[in-house]
Amino acid sequence: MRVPRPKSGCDVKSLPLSPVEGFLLSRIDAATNERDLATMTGLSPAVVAAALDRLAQLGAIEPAAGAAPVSAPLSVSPRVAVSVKPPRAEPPPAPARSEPPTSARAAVEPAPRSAPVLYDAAELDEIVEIDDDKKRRILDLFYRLDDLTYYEVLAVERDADKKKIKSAYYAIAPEFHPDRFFRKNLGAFKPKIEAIFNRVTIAHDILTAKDRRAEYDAYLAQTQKNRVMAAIIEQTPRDVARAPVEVAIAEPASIAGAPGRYASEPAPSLAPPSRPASDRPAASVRPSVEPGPISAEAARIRRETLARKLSGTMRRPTPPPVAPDPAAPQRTADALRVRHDQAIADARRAQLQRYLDEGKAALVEQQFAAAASAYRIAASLAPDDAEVQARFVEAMRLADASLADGYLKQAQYEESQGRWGEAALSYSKVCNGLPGNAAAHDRVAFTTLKSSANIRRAVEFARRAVELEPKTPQFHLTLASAYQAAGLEKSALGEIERALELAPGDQKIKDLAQQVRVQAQKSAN
Amino acid sequence: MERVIGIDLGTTNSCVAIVEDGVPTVIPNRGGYKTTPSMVAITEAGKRLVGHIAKRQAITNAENTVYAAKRLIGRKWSSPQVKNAILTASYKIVEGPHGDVRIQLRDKTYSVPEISAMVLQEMKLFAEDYLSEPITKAVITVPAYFNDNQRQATKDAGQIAGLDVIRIVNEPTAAALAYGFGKNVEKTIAVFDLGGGTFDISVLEIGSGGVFKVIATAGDTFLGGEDFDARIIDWLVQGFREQHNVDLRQDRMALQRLKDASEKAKCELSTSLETEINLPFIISSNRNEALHLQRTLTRAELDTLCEDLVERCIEICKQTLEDARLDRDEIEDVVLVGGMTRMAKVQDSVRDFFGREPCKGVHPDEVVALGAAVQGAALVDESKQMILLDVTPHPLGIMTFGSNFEELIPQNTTVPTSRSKIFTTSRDNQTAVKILVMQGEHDKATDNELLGEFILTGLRRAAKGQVEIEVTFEINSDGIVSVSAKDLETGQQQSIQVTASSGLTKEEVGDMMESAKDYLVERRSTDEFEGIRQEAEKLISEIERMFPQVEQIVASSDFGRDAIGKARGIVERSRQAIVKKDAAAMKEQMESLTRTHRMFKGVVARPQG
Repeated sequence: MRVPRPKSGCDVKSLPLSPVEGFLLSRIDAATNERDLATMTGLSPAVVAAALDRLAQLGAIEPAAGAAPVSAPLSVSPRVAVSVKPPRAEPPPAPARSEPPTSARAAVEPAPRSAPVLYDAAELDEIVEIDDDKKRRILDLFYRLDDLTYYEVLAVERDADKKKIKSAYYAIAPEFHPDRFFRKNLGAFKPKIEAIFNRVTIAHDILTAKDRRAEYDAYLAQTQKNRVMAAIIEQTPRDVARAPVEVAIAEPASIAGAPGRYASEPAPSLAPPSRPASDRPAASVRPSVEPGPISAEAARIRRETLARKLSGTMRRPTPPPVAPDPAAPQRTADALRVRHDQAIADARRAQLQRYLDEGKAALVEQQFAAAASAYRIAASLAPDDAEVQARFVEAMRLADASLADGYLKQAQYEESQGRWGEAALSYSKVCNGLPGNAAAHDRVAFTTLKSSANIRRAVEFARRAVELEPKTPQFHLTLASAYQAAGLEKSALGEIERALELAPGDQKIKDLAQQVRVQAQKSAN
Repeated sequence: MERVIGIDLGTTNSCVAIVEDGVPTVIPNRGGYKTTPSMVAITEAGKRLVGHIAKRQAITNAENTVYAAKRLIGRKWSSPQVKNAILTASYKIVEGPHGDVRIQLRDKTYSVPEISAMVLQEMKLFAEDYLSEPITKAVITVPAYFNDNQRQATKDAGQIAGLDVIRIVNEPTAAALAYGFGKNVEKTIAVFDLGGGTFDISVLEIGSGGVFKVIATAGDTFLGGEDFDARIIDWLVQGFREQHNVDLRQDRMALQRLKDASEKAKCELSTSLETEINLPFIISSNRNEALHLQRTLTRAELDTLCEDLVERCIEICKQTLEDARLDRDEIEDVVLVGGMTRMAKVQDSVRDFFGREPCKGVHPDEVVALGAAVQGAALVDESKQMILLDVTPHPLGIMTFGSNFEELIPQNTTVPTSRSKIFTTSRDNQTAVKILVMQGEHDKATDNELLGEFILTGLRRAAKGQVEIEVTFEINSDGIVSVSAKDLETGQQQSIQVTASSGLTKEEVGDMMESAKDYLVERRSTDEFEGIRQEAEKLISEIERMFPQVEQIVASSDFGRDAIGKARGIVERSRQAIVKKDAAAMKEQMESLTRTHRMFKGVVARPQG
């Protein structure tokens, strides 16, 4: 999965971007991966992939490898910085990506060279009768299986019809059918190949049956919703920073209906648009915040209009500016500065009010994620306003709770399908939303144990659940199973005994304790 | 690279083929024929005869000539099919030591795989003669509807014959491979395979790039040319009795002659409208007069005699299309396989059912062997781009409490595959479960085929339903079924690879099942009611456990007494809903139950005093 990063020093305005590409670029922050970009923008993965390819070709982004850097550029957006630089005549050479931009990003295509390697390189060293490329492909796909939707597994679009799904299946299935490796020594690769084949076949079977596909789509929609909400909540007051980019989006839209026509020519060195499109709503904030381009008079009018529109606070209109005293230039300058400062302050207030209103409206509509996002911006605009801060905290709490609810639904579907690994992940997201919820931590531990993946993680979550609610016997029991899985029999016994103390009458726990004691005895001998 | 032969081990005839220079070719036998009768005989001198030569002497040596051994392979002695065969066969069928079927020829008994091995060995010899090199690897075909025991028995036969059976392929699938070989088509086809002993119907998709995907398959392993012959024999025997009051069935030699004549008449009626059956000196009357059988059979008469057999085939076709979720007009071609599809009535019925003219491009007797050869070549030769995605023809599952069959892998699942389901114990303090692995489509487990069994022990003692066991079925690409059971709490695990059941008697199976009843697990019901019921019962038991404590704490206040009374009401109502299995009422009570439970927990947890 690519995590594209904006390329510093690139003048995006000079690039011949299509509206889609510009829009996508505005969402690229070096932290969001390709799939989430698709989710956030509502574009299909194929379109996103194609746009990313082109953006990379034009030198606007670097498809960064691996996890995003911890300090994702938030307000320090390079886009703002570069927008004032002179346009560059030549785009840097395109990174090596030879695929045609229109191809859907197929799961089964080899991951881009820069993609993170999910498997242990030592696995490649196993001596089996498979060539190295194939080994890589198998490992790469096997370890990504749980991250891929059925559509991605088959490398088809979300709206692909039955025929397309079938032909995709026919293309992929033979490659991973065990008969392709008939009587070969496959070692540890054999179960992996069969797992891939199994998943590809399930994907085909579900997507070609109308009812099962509908059920799966509903589940995907829930996951998407969760992701979108997560993305919205995490969104920061970036709209200021984003403005110039949106300008860049607006421009090519008006001149070119066919974005593809630039594809084969070097990027023409367009002059930056002469005026930022200040009538665009998203951009309208910027001029009032940044000193300069707007006259004090215009600012005053704007401020008053805004004030009237807003909140109903009974603010008296600012008196019309006094005519400057020609005899006192210093005073005039001072007055101008004061007025200017005031304009900024008013604009800030207006902006604050706008976000507060937005948040309130979102709350009414129960759009908790949007509310949290709005209040977060409001809170950052008014860091000293205790009430705003409190509202932000409350909105965040609601958003987290509702998000956790979504993840819970997701986790439960996954658990019901026996997809323990995915369920564990979703439950852990519930925990992110509700860090104080012991039950959710308990479920993470439980599902992690079932997926028999990371026992240490199971132990950690089980411990946390116990810390949060030390009086619930069940949590002690889960912790005990985790300890047992880790081979820590004494600790396991300790937890069971604690559970027994909490529920002294419970025969089930008594039996369990007895059984573990016997086992511990046996292993001690 | 070692060459792989494809063998169609048929009920009446067998055929062997190989891919030569990229072209699948049938290997003729020593007599120059492309098919060889699947018949084995032991002469008076103790000499073994196979093929045409066995068939030729069958009339004079009926008791020591085996035909249609395929109808017995992998079956249990007590199965109705074997009982039926005992009545009609001219050779002696006896019970084997494991409740399996043996055939007595002269003074020796042979297992069915041994007899089949004799045929296979002959086919292997033909191939070695033809290719002038030793052959050890083979793909053998079986009816798609064969169960695992029958497949394993066929594999054993190959092994006895000195062949490494690299794959067992379903006959209709093999036919489709031969049909689609070298044609770059994308089509949905049906293969209608009515052979000497079995009927199969398979629906396949032939995709681009040489992918053959079986969508659905079904059939009847006891419906084929032999049954059509039997109808003619019945008709002749009955007519003869009416005429001479003599039962021809009493004389094995007469029966063998009838069988021969019936088969011949049936074949002749595929091309002509009537045929004469003439068997002089067939038997002596009670007064030692020589009696002759002479009758005329018309095509119309034959059609009437066999009408229901053909109808059964069409019924199965209908069901298969439903299973495949396909309409008749979505089938783009119908391939006819097996000698019986030469019968006009069969062709007409297929044409009527599918609404299209069946494909005439394949040879019904040879296409299966050709397909087996194609599959063999594709397996050992990496450059072959063909791949076959086959399905499991029968549901696989385990027997649960009350002798119910609980399916884990449904019919028509593409293999390799694996599926799991969670079960719970069915008795209090049950410490072991017996997992009976079964195959078949009946809800009642005892009607299905038992494939294997094992016991998972060391379960935690607990009330029934408390211990969860995860059962996982896996079918790998070689068609081998493995089953494992895991105690989810202790991680304790047991597994078996299910291989051929050597044939247990019905009594043995019966005894086993009887004694196994205590061990059986109960399917955890997934329906909504069951889910709520369990949750409700858990809450009720916890609430009741807390009752005395809560009562003690809150009884001093009116409010508390009121709450206790209400809680009792809620518990009572929930109980009633459970007893009545009233899902709606239970749902209603769930909220109150949860609230009461929470409240109780709160009261109990609160520091006292």
